Amino acid sequence: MSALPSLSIPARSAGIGLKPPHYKAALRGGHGLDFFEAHAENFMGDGGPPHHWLAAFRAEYPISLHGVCLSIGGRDDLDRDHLRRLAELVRRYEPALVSEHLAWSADGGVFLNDLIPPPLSQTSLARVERHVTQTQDALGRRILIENPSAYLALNGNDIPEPEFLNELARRAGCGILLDINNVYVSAMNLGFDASRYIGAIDPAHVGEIHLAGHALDSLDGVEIRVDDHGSRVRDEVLAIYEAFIAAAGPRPTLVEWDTNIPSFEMLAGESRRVTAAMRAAPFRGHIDTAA
Amino acid sequence: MPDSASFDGIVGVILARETARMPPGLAGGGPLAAAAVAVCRNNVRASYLRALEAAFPVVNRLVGAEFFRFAANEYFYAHPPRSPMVARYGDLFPAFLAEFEPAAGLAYLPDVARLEIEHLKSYHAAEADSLPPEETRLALECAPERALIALHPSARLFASRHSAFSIWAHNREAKTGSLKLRQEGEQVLVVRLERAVCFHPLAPAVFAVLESLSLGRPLGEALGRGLVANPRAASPAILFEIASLHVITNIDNIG
Repeated sequence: MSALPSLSIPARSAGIGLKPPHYKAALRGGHGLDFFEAHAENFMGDGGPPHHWLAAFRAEYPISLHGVCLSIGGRDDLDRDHLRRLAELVRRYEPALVSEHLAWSADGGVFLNDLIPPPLSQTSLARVERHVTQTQDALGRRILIENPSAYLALNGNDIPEPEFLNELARRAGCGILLDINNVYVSAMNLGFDASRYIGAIDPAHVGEIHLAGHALDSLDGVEIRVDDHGSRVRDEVLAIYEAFIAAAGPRPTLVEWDTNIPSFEMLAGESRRVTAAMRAAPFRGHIDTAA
Repeated sequence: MPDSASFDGIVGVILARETARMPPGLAGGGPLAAAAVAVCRNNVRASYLRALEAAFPVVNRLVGAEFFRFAANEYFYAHPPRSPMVARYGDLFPAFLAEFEPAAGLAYLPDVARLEIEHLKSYHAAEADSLPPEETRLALECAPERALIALHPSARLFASRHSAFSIWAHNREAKTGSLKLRQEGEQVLVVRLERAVCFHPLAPAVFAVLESLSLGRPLGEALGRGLVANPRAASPAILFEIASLHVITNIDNIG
C-alpha cells in the first residue's frame, strides 16, 4: 500500500520545471505555485540527493514526471531498460501526470539526446501508437504526449501534426501535452499558422500545457527560432495560450526555463504572470486531466 | 518516400564531423534546411558538452574551458553516445583521455577524471544505513575470520600513482598557491554520508582491507591483504580506522 498522500493536479494549476538551484526556495513555499515538473532522467540513479529532493517535493506538492529520452517517435524498439527505469520512478513517486514527446532521439543504437520530430506518415503513426501503448502498459497508466518543436520540413509528411496527435490520442488512449511555444517555434520556422494548428487540436485530449521562451537566431543570414527555454514567454505565445484557455477552459500550465536559469522568485513570478488570466477566469467546468 | 530515409539522413548529418547539408530529397534543401541542420547539430553537441562539464568540473578547470571543449568534441566522435542515461555519458572519458595525444603531457589527468566518475557513482548510489562507528568497532573486534562485511552501496575505492586525489582536492574550488605532491601513490575511499559525498585518504593497509572486503572476501583474508600491503600495520588499528569511516552496513558472523 502506498504511503504517499494522493495528490492530483486540478485543471486550474500553475507550475514550473524543477531545477536544482531552486529546490530550497521552492520548498519554503509562499510562491503560489500548485505543482512541479521533474525530468524523469534526472532521477534515474538508485539513490542519493536527487531522490531526497524529489521525495521532499512529492510530500508537499503534486508532481508531473516528464520523460525526455524514451524516443517514442523512433523506429528502434523502445529501450526496455529505460522503460523499466521510468516505470520504477512512477511506482516510487506516484506522479499526478506523466508525459513524453512525439519525438525520437535514438536510432540504430546511437543516442542523440535531442527531440527530433518523427515523420508524419501512416507508418510512423502506427509505430508511435505501438510505442505509446507499450509505455502505458509498462507504467500501468495513461501518459500525455507533447508536440515537438520543428526546424526542418520533412518531405513526405502526409498527415498534419495536430491530426497525427488527435489520432494518436484516440487510438492509444493517451492525452496531449500541448506545448504552445513549440507550436509557435515550428510555425515560424516552417511557415504555418500557429493559431490554426491549435484550433485543430481536440481540446478534450489536452491534459497539460507547456509555455517557455525561445530565441530568435540568425545563421548565415537565415532567421530561425530556437526552442532554448532561456527567456520569458513571448507575448505572441501568451496570446495564443490565452485564446486556447478561453475556448477550452483551464489546464495545468507549466513554465519551462532550462538555460540562463533565473532566480526562483523570477521563475515563480513568470508562472504567475502567464497564468493570471487562466486563474482569474470564471470557468466552472470540471476537466479530468489525469484520467 | 519511405520514412527510413528521414532517420538515416538526420542521423548522418548530426553525427558527421563536418557540417553537412541535409539531402535535398529529404527536406527540400535550401538555406532554411541548412540552418535547421545546424540547430540540430548544435543541440546534440551542446547537450553532451554540458553533461561532460557537469561530470568533470575539475578536469575542466585543470585544462581550461577551450581545451575541454576540444577534448569533448573529439570524444563525441570517438564514442558516439549509446545510452539514454546522458549523465553517465562520460564513463569512458577517463580511458579516452589516457589515449588522447594532446593531453599526453598531463599524466595525472585520466586519474583525476576517474576520481570524478567515482564521485558521480557514489552520489547516485542506492541508499543504505551504515552502522554507527562505536557499534562497528565493538562488532569488528569480536568478529570471526569468516565474517562477511557489507560495505555501503556508495563506497568506491580509488587509487592513483599520480597524486590525483591531492590535485583534485586542490582544484575542486578555485584555490591559488602551490601544491606539494608526495612521491608515493594515493588511496582514497569515496563514500556518501547522508547527502554529502566524502573523500577519505587511506593508508595502504586500510585500503587493501576495504578493497578485499568490497570483493566479498571474508574478514580474515582481507586483514591478510592489509598486512601484505604494509607488514608493519596492526590489525586492531586497521579495524579501528575502518569503523570510523561510516562505510559498513552489515557484519555477518556466520560467513
